[in-house]
Amino acid sequence: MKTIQSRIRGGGRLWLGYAAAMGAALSYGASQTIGKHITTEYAPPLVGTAFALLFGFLYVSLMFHRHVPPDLKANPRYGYLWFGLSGITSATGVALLYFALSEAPVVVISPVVAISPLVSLALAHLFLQRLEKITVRTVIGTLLVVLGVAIVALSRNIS
Amino acid sequence: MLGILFGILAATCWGFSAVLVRFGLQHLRPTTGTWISLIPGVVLVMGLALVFNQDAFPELTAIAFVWFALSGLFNFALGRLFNTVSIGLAGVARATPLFSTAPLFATILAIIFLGESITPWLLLGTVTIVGGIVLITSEQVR
Repeated sequence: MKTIQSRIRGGGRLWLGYAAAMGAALSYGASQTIGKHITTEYAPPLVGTAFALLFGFLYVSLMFHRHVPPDLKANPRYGYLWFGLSGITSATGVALLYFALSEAPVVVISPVVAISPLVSLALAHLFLQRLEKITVRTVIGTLLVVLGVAIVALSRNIS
Repeated sequence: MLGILFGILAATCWGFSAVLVRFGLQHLRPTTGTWISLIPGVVLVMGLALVFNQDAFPELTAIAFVWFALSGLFNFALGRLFNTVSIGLAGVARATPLFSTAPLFATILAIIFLGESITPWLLLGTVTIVGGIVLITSEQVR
């Protein structure tokens, strides 16, 4: 099975990864703006997220209906396991965020959850030493991003 | 205090999720991986919504579903797919700080579409984020 990773190499691969990461940030940012409208006008956050997840699953099923069946037939058990666990941890994170917001104001919780890239960095250092090299520059860059995101989240929620 | 603890646990879950995606990409392509990762999410969050917000379901209008569909497209189709692809191409350490800048884009979109105002704190946060991104992306390719 040829993946995107195996087709693109070196600097091109890295810059495409950065572009995809910024695409994810833009998509998540758009969904946060839409989410604010949904929770203000139409539904509680948990209900809105549940249906958004359902629609997201339907879109991905439609877009990649040719990829999924052959990959499932190939039966990569560890692939199911890791992505299944990833889905569980990601959804648990969403649920915990709602519980957090029910216990404390957004102004407190937003900067707290902004630390997730630092957690990823620490876990990558622990579990991905074979796959990834973490440098001082990456750590300082991540700290600056986390600080900046916390400032943006605070400035928005205070005002 | 309980709220902060839940917030830290949420951040920890998302941190683990990115590392698990990196492991999964050793065995599956990003598209199928994204599809698989959404299944437990749908089950878990829909289950919680049915338990905690059962009353809200009969009151949902048709226009609400249009907004849910739009949110699902941006967050769980495009966002999750780009997220998985970026981890595969750039790695967890470099990709996660970049896609965690979503609140900055949310604020920019809110300024454009919802009429929110630009504050000095927002500008400071933006400059700090851009500085971090420049540091991460200027790393020499191995």
